[in-house]
Amino acid sequence: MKISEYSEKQLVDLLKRGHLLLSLKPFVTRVQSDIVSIARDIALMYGDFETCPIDSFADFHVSVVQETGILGWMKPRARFYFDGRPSFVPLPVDQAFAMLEWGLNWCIAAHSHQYLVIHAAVVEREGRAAILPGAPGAGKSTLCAALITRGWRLLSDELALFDMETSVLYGTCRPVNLKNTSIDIIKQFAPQVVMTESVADTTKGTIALMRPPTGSVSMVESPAHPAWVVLPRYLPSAPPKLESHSRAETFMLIAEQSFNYDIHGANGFNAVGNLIDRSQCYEFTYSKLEDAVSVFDGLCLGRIG
Amino acid sequence: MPEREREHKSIQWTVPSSDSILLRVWDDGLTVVYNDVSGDTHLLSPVAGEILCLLKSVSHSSESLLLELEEAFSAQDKQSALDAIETVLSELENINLVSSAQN
Amino acid sequence: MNERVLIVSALTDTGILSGLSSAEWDLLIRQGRRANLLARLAYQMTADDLMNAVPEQPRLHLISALRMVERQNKAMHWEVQCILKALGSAEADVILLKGAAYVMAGLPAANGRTFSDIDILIPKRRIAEAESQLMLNGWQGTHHDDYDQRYYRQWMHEIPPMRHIKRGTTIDVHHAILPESARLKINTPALFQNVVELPGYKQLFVLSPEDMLLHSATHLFHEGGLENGLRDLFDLDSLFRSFSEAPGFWEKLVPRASELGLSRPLYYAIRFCTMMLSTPIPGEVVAESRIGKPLAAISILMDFCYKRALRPAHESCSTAGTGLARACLYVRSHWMRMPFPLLVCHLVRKAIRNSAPPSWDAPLARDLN
Repeated sequence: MKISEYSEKQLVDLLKRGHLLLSLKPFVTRVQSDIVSIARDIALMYGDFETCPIDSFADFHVSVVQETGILGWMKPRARFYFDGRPSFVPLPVDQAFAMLEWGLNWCIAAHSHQYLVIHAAVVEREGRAAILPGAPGAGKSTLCAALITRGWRLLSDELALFDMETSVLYGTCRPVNLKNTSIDIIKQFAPQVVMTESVADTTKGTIALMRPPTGSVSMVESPAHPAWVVLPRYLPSAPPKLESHSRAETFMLIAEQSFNYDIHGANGFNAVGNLIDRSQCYEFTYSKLEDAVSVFDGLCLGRIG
Repeated sequence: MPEREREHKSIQWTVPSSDSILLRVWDDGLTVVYNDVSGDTHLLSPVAGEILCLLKSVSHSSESLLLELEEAFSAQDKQSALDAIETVLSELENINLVSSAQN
Repeated sequence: MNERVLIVSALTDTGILSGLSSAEWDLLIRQGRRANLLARLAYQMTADDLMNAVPEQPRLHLISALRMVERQNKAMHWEVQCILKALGSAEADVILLKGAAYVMAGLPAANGRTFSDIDILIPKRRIAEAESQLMLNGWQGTHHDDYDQRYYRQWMHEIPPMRHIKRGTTIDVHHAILPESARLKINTPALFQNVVELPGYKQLFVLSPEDMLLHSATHLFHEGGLENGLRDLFDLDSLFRSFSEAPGFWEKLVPRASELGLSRPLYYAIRFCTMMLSTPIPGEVVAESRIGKPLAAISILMDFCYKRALRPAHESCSTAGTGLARACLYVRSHWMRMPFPLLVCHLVRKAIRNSAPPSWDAPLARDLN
């Protein structure tokens, strides 16, 4: 059954009892929460996702629970639990859904060593994937959000799951994280997108989450073949510039951005090497999203690169 | 024979446990290396990468390395080329990729 | 209370796994993960050629856990080499303890095990020199607070843990296996006399089989946290099994415990391994070990505490009294380590410091939000 087929009341009830098993292919997550806004945000963001029967195997058991402050006047907070164990400091309750998303990212990154887990956005077109590594401030999420509103498929905005045996990429196609000015930029660029309310004063500033495109969600089980690694760099007023980047240096960057590179040892080295072998590596400077989409489309059609 | 010259000939450099060293090099010559013994990954300059590659198959003195790398050092006089090679070797030794032994 | 926890049943008999439902696999993976025994289970199942029969989803978790530990063996060898290089003066005999010893001696107890740091034992007179040699080679002291420094040096049996600047690994340098301030007085010189040299290495030693087992037992039954109590019990089970073939092991075990002053921990080790894990131990050894049994009242209390505290720290394994048991054991372990006035002071400080959970800025978390 899809999330969109549940009423809000049903979702609230399922969440309260910890009976919501969300299919986040290739994972299944059991979610428990007593916070009503989480039910609403799940309905808004995960409408196209399936649920699983109550006695299914769940890869992760997570809860987001409201805590009242010790003193009556303290604002209520939410805390993330992984399998009954509180993890991370509590945050204001209006950040509860964001906390769920961040917590899920952590679950996947810390416990999925069947993959090489790379901190990168991945989008795909014609079966070929563009990997945007997650160097801070690079603007990968903004670029990713723009591309998926213009015909590119979303695999993930944060976690690229690289299958080391077959050299293909998977993603969970979950909501895209946007921050600060990117929120309005994307709203202007693609007025049809569905977003949560903006939440201010998080550690990353103001954030909002963007619903993944239905088409992308329906294709979540299809892997993509790495074709390009693009290091984005937003520079105000800059014309679009795509320059070749050293493969060896891109290798080091991908290795650094992989959460579990060290664990995999020689296999990790070979996996990143294989990924780089298959990819053209670029540095991309831009200021306007329309320019960026043009360049990426050009890459895909073989007009560039 | 002057002492330095003796050194360039007498110290042999090798890659211990050669099977534990994995290398990849692409167009620009920059080399990435993985050392399975230490678990470290390194990015090496083209010259350092070539030296490591040569030492993986057989041990060399800095002089014999210079013979193999003539092209890379064609613009330099012999002594400064040898010094450059020794600097690279010493750095590679610091990161546990090569080791030296007196002949 | 006597029913076996699923992860224990699975580890003691992998045959039960063929009949598990999805919900049971779900529980097993979570218990295994919480108890830090998932990789051990994965290792066991691989050895028993049972992995292919596991449903795909749980199998991926087992594989993931195994991958976490696979590199550890090599990483441990490298770390030991680096330590030997740093401490490499003529007199520097280094005795490896616990996990490092299991790996370097090739013991089955190392299989599927994660290690957070390396413990070494050196004579007290060499501590200062060792500390400075380590610092020269890139290790840095932790616990800079004066109180902690005193805690470790004066009252415990080690210098504060040292962390390597580049590799991020931690080394604990001990000069005894229990604190000087402990109530249980151990015959430490006798330990040093029976060490076994590791083949292929100069100056690298491990404790003799009996001593290694006794150390593991002492560590488990003196520790308070017991987060990894069940895992440590499985270590003991593994040591009992792998040493049972060592010449004279069973004959030497109880007398050696008496000689070292460790009859009590050996009694507990044998009692709880046989009771909870069905570890095969010869009847006569079990009988002899009873010289270490405490008075009836204490024995009953310890049974109550350990039977609960040695279960995984997972909500599915909690029974009435678990919280109390853990609290009792925590206080007891500190009682055993330190005289009372020191104890109060220390526990208060520890409580204050431990109240801060990891922040969203911690490594790994930081990139994901």
